Amino acid sequence: MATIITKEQQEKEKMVTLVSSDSEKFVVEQKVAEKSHVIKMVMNCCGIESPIPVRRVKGDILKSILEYCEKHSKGEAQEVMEKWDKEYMDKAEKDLVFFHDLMLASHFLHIQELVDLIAVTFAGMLKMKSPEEIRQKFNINNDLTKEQEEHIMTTFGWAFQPI
Amino acid sequence: MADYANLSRDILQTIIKYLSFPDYIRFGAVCSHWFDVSNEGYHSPQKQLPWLVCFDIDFPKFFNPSEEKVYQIEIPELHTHGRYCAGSSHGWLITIDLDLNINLMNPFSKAQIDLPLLPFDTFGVRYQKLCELSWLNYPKQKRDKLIYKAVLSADPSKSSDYIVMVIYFANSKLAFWRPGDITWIVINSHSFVEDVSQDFSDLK
Repeated sequence: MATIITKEQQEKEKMVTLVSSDSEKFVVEQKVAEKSHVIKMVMNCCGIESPIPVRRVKGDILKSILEYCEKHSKGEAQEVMEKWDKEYMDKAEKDLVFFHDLMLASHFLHIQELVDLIAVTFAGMLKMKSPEEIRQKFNINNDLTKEQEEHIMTTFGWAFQPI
Repeated sequence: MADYANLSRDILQTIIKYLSFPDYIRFGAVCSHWFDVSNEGYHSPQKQLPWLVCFDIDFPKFFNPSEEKVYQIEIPELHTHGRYCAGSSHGWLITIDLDLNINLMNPFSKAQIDLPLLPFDTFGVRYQKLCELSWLNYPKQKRDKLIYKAVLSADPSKSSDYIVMVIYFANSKLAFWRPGDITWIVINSHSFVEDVSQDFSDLK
């Protein structure tokens, strides 16, 4: 007996389930998940029937990343996307723990556009900041060796004139 | 807590790409790991606005328009025998001293490349005579007026495949030099040369 595949079923077949490290499930279209080079490779080799575990990414981060991928799989006008990206980053950079995890996840999942967007945003956060201001903002200890410090000051002392 | 100090090299290298030169230097002064990563390769950022060079008596001043900031960079090498900046391109200065010795100088790495003396032919003798007869007969004036414009076709830090081109003797002669050449190659022309641009890389 011939199987009749309804349109609904066809659509359903294009869906894939992703599971975050804290077992949260997300059902998204295949073309959305494909934005991640890593997930795309997994789907190519293992299919999309069974849920794909994304072990190194927590639910809140995966949710945000999938939001990005979904928006970017629609093929909207460039101006619309730029505005959306800016709002997305404005929100992300307010919480530095979240921003950090988002950065790691975009690298891990290999979503090049997002990796670059985050890098540009991060570079903007460092713009015209002294090393001490950067350390304070990102909670970094100054563990430079004496030799490193000397090297910087003798070669590039000019870069530390008051900004 | 988010561990920004120990972000992977890959991530930090991606960020470095989007930093301006002074931001990149300060980035390397944040912590030991960031210092190591910033010293791993040659900084080749995305396109950014060129800096303006202004020659003062004491220090050359560099204006970075994207920060709207002036940097005073001390370059002791510039003070040897009254060096003067005759031009700049691809991050290098083309300098000339009171004996009319020419070199290329990178103000950041302090690297120097010596160039041969510009050839003085009959025209040069005329220039000398003209100098003797006029207010140009001061070593400083002679030095400042010899080169009208100087440009490079590429960054000498990245490859030895580049050309230096100058308009000299006020603006009547065009000469170029490639690494390895013992002398300048002079292009004879009877007319005044008004301008030379960096985009002459196809001339090879």
